[in-house]
Amino acid sequence: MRTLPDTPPAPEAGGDDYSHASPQSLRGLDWFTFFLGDIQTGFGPFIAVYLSTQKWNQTDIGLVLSVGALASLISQIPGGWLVDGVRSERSAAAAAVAAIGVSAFMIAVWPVFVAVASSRALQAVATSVLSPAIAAISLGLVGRYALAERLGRNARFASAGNGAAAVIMGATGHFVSAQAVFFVTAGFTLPALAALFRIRDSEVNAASAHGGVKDERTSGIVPGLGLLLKSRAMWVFIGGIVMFQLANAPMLPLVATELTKTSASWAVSLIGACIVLPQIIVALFAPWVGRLAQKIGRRPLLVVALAVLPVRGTVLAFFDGILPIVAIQTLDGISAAVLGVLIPLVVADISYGTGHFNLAQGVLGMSIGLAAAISTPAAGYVADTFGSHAAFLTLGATGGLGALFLLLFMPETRPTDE
Amino acid sequence: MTALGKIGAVLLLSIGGGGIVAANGASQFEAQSPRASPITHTVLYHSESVLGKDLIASGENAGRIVDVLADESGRVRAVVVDYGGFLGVGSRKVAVAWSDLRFDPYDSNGAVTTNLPPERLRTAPEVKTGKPVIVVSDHD
Repeated sequence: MRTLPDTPPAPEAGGDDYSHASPQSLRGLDWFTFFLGDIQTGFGPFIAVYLSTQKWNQTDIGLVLSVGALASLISQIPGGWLVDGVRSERSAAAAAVAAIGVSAFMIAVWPVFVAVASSRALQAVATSVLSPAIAAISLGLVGRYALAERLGRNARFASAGNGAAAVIMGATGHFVSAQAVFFVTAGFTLPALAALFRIRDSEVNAASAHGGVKDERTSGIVPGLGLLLKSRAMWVFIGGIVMFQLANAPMLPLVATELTKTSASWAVSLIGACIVLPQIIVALFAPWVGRLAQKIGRRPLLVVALAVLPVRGTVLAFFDGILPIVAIQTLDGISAAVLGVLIPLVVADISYGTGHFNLAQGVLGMSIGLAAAISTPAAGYVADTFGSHAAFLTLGATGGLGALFLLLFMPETRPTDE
Repeated sequence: MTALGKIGAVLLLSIGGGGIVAANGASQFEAQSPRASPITHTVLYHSESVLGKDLIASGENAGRIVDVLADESGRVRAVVVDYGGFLGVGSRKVAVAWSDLRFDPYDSNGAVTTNLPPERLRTAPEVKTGKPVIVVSDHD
């Protein structure tokens, strides 16, 4: 089938009818996801640190963060819908990456309110296009049956990128300046774009990338949503993922705050470890998760990802030592490895044939965003009022309920055959 | 420790930061007083914004000053320091008494120092909006 001498271990599963992706495209996708992991790290909680070095007051910092969060929530669904409608996912992704680069550069050179607020909004909207676009390119390249394995590979490279970025940016922030972190971020968009353009646009099957069988023009947002939300599996899946997010999102910040309180000068490196360690786990296990999802199905893996949460919650509540805390964070990597692969995968399963794969991803993205926005302050409140032990137990229990919910109601969505 | 009541956050000096700030604040106040005294100017040669400066606690960098707190009478009582954390994750905001801060205008790093041990900051209660602020200080 291929004439190239060095045929790579291209993701190919039995029964895949259109594995027409060239090794060049597949490697391009590898490195594209790697550099994206780099790019998004700078836009996390670090923005607050940077703005405080720029003598911003706390009210303005809070306001700017809210602008970003709100823009992200609002743009997820339209962003996904947009990707369903474009002819070239690659161009959409390129525009989004360029926008993120501009936004990082703006924050670095012009840290005044209007500029930072609009750049946060720009970055949020671009991310709402970019996240579904990556999965769409993957689906368009390898087809439905090889998607699980391909998403595993994406997650591996994205996590490696994230982990590398945390180290590089932590060092940049510490040894150079907070501002330099955003120049580094903007700089990373160049190799990301270079990798993206290694992917041959002609090999991305547009109809497949949109989760449709035929190449039909996409309908509007509302009919599209109506179509997607008719599926019971979609509702159950959203419910399960929301419960995961409610339980999971506040755990790392809570752990990190506890570490800052208890372990003196070590804390910074320990928090760094708590961030990087799960990424290493994901990089190691995600491809295996992808293969497993194709072999044994999605449902058992989803249940495991959530069932890990009560274990984490309990250990964090009852063990105070540094070692158990860092060790238990590896479990975070297991959940992240599973869900990093399975969220786009199950969405692709459920939305297959609708032509609304990306719109469906937007729906999931918005639900996840809402859950994270609610749960972090809620967990903070529980921790303030009843102590961090109570907070960890509550989060663990929420995750446990979520696991039970998926176990009872989630159907298996793995495609069996034509 | 001193529990202050409702404390408004006050931005001390200029937000624009850095450099010399001349003829502000005090002169306006005097100009408004009924006695028509000649307008005086206060020249501050070494004033700088405190926001964004590092706080060195007993030789160890304890974090960045992110806010300045004044009490009901307008007296500056404390600074809020963003203590610890990695890339913004896990940092805690704690209040340190203004009277325990040392300012050295000729310090090359421009940092603010205090003799408080860093452990005091690490274990201090966190500053929360709308709650009374517990200030870490050396004398109480």
